[in-house]
Amino acid sequence: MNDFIIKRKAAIFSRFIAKKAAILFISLVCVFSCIPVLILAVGSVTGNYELSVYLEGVLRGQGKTYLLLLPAFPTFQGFIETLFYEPEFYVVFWNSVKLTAFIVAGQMFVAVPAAWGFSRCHGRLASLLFYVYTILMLLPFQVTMLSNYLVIDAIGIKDTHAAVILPAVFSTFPVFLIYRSFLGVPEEVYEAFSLESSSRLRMFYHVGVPLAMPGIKAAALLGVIEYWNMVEQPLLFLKTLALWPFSLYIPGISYDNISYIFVCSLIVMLPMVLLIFGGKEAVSEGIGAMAVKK
Amino acid sequence: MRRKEEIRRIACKWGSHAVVIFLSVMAVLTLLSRVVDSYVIPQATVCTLEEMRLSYEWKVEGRVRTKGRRALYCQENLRIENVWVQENDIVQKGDLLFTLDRKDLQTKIARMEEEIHKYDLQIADMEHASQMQADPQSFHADQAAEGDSNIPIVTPDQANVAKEENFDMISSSVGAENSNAADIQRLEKKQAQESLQQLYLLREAKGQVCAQFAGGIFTCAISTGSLTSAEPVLIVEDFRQPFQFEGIVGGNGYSYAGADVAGEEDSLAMNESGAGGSLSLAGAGSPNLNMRGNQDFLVEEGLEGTLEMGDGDVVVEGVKISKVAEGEEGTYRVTAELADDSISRTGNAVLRFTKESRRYRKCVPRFAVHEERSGYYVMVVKEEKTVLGIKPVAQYVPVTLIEHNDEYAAVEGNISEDDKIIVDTNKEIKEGKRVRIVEEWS
Repeated sequence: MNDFIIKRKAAIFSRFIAKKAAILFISLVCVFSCIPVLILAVGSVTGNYELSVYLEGVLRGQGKTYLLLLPAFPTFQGFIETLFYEPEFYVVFWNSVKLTAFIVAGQMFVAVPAAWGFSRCHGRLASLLFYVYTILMLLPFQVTMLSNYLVIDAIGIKDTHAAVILPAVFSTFPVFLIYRSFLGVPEEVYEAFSLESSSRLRMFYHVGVPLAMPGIKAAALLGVIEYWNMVEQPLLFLKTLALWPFSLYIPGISYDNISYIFVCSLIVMLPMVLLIFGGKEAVSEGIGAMAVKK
Repeated sequence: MRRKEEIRRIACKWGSHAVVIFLSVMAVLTLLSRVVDSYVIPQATVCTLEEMRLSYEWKVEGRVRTKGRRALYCQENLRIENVWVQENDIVQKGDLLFTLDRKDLQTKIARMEEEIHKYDLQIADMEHASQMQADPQSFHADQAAEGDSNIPIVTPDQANVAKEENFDMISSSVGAENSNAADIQRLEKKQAQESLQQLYLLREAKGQVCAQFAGGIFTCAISTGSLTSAEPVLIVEDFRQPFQFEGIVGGNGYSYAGADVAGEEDSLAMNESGAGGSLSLAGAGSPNLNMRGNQDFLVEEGLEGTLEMGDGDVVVEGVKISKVAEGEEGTYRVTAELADDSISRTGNAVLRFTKESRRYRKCVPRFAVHEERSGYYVMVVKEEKTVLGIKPVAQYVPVTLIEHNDEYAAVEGNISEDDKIIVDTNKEIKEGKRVRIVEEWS
């Protein structure tokens, strides 16, 4: 009996230790994953000269690089110069806002009805089309880049924001995500609504969209995060500097203005942090809906 | 569980609001940054290339004077009550020059009258002595008759003895001396009388001395309270005489043309150019560019220039240099005759000479050309694609400086007629930095 109790206690203790170790490990991983953000925050309040000393190895390709933990002489000069003396930063910032907003809005305009259509049509053709859609989703941008470029060139929207927005609006991933949300709605709900109204549009608007809203929100939020940081599309389609998003502008900042990199990066990171903070539940719910099987 | 839900709901709501607030703040900062940028960005005055001949101007500063001058003398030792003119003043005929102290003048007249009376007495005395030497017997008789007991009575015998011993020797010399002294006294008396007459005239004029002709005061040796002397009180330029320009170049601040004249602001380089007393003036370097003078100009007899007097109210063209003479301490005196009717007064004047270069296709304002170690350059405004759109950006363009004058420089380089060249900025500009064009240079 005593042996059993002792073994039982030992098992409980070992599970406790294992749990604590797992928490510690995960915490450490979290801390390590936050180090870049921490460095960004510290770098934004560090003077330009101090940064050039700390990051000489990175910037010049020779010398040593030190981990930036605490500035010797903290300063907000970088913020002041960036926010008040760099109108270029605002141009690229608002370009990013514009591109992201139009892309996500366009995606919602296209993807929600498309996903609704796929979820409501159960024929072989619909299944085949959805299969093709899924394959397209799996193709990386580099594969479709050339064909995108040719089409954009042919319709004459090269070097405009439309060249970036238009292909992204027809992205397949939000369709896939929202499709799963529509599938998660029980068929009985639709049947119940059919007794009230025979209008498919009303069913979409009053039943489908509200019940699939977590998935729509998740798709929108993931879209914002993705297109806020996009690099390849603007790099390929935008030649005019005035049309660039910040993701192309920040790497072009000169060696003399290293603090700009930190300040700009911190500022453009801020809206994403706020969005995630406010929409993390929607994302988890939306992604959770993807697990629902047909 | 309910509390957790509440926290999630608040976080979701707060997060959405924070994004909106963040975007609003960024919109405000965008406007602010544009406002700040409009103040911070260098404002430039620009110009375009001009095709022109460069004109050079050299000037000799000096004064227009008359060829003839008159000295005005006054009785000596008269006290000046007031002087109404000074050097370089222009006077008309009848203008009051100075006034004498009338009390002092009256005293001088009285003294002069006494002196003349004294001369009279002395002359009479000498004449009397001379007569006595010429006829002593009658002289003594006369003296006796006059009852002068102090004079010893000489008998005829004694007189004969004296006559025999001394008369031949003394009478002739004493008589001649008395006669000469009397003549001198008469002469001095005459001079005194003349002086007295002049003093009478001055007294009649109430001590006022006026100009007898129109002219300019060249020198004035008197001042209020001073005494007149044998020297002229005034030297007056007579405007009835022909005029001429007299100027001096050279001296301190001037260097010989063979020397490096770089950076000498508004200076002239000068050297002797051989016979004929001519000299060459070299164009000066600019004040900020440290350019080297590159135009020599030969000033020689016969060279024509334009004379300007005053504030340019009198301009005489075609004035020829009549003489170039070496002066003191490396200076040169330039003289130019003036036509009779061209000038009617004296005064400070500038004699200007101009010369034009050949026609150049690329001329820019001189201040648009800058100098560095490797040579000269201009800053050109180019339209460049920037993040803010197509904006004017300063661009460095090296040029070759051919020649320049005070205002323009002829250059050669990779600049076209459409290029906007920066002449002036309110702040320092750098290659590749944005500038704001605020005005065209004219």
